[in-house]
Amino acid sequence: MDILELLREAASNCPAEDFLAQRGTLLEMSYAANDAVVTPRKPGRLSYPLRLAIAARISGQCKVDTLRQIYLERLAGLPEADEWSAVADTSAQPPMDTFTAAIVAYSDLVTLHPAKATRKDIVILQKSGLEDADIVQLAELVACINYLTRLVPGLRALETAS
Amino acid sequence: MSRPVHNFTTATLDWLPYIRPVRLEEATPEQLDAMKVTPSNRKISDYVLTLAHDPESLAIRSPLFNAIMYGRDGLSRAGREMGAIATSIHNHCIYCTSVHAARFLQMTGREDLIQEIFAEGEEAALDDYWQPVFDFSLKLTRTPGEISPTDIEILRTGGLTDLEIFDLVCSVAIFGWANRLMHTLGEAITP
Repeated sequence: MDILELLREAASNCPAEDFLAQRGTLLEMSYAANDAVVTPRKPGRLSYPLRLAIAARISGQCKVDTLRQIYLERLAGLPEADEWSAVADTSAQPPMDTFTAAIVAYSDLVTLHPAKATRKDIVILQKSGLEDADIVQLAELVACINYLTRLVPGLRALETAS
Repeated sequence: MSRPVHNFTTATLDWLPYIRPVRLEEATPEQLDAMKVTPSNRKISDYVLTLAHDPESLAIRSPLFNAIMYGRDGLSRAGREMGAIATSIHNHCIYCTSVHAARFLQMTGREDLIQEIFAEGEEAALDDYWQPVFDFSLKLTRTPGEISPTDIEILRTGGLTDLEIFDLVCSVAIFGWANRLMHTLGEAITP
């Protein structure tokens, strides 16, 4: 199952309103947003497996298991999966290179404690080798997955409450 | 001279990026398209110029944001703004809070609600309609994995239809995104 199927299925199971007719476009735009941050046409220096691992990590931290499974399955389908599975796993703190460690630290902070983020956290990314485009791509990835980790459980609670 | 703003306000603020925004004269065609730059629209904010470093995301997020906040039917504009305010309060996004609290005030005139939220934060005591909207928004923001049908029932009891609840979910979610850009890539400053 991909994210659009997940959203559509939940929406179609909400009988009180015809969600798909009224908000179907919004669900498709959300799916496109996911693609734009997880598997963009130009991934730059943030590889697909890194992006999928971060997405799975955030989903786990937000306790949205349906999303986490989708990202883990996509990650498992890539040849580099083993190399990145530790990033997807929040239970361990594997050894990482400076570049990856800075990305994971930023993702953890902005997911779990966004209010605490300051200019210093961007400086750390810069000192760890991230350029301006890398930083904005990372920020969009983390922010968009935090969008989806609210959209999916909200919609599924509506589905269940129906 | 501009200075950082750390307290919630409805005053008009500026935003200072922590990284160098894209220079409009150096922007690629893809970046110009994502920013919606046209011969008659060349006044682009530093926020948009900063996000133009990732044009693929920007091109998708802007219409998604507009669809959620300004879409037809469903939850009132003020209801969507309350979702934005609650989320932005928790995430401590001073800039987003200022914009959306000001819009909520314009629509409702409820200065009492905004002052209560600014004074008491997440513990604010609101009226019978807005309290469940505010509380649901905070819970979905703080602990999304714990949202349950019981939370939906509380909103229904408060008078919201399921479509309105879905619109509230979307408002909270999109500000979970917007705050994490606005608050982490720069800071609110006085004009």
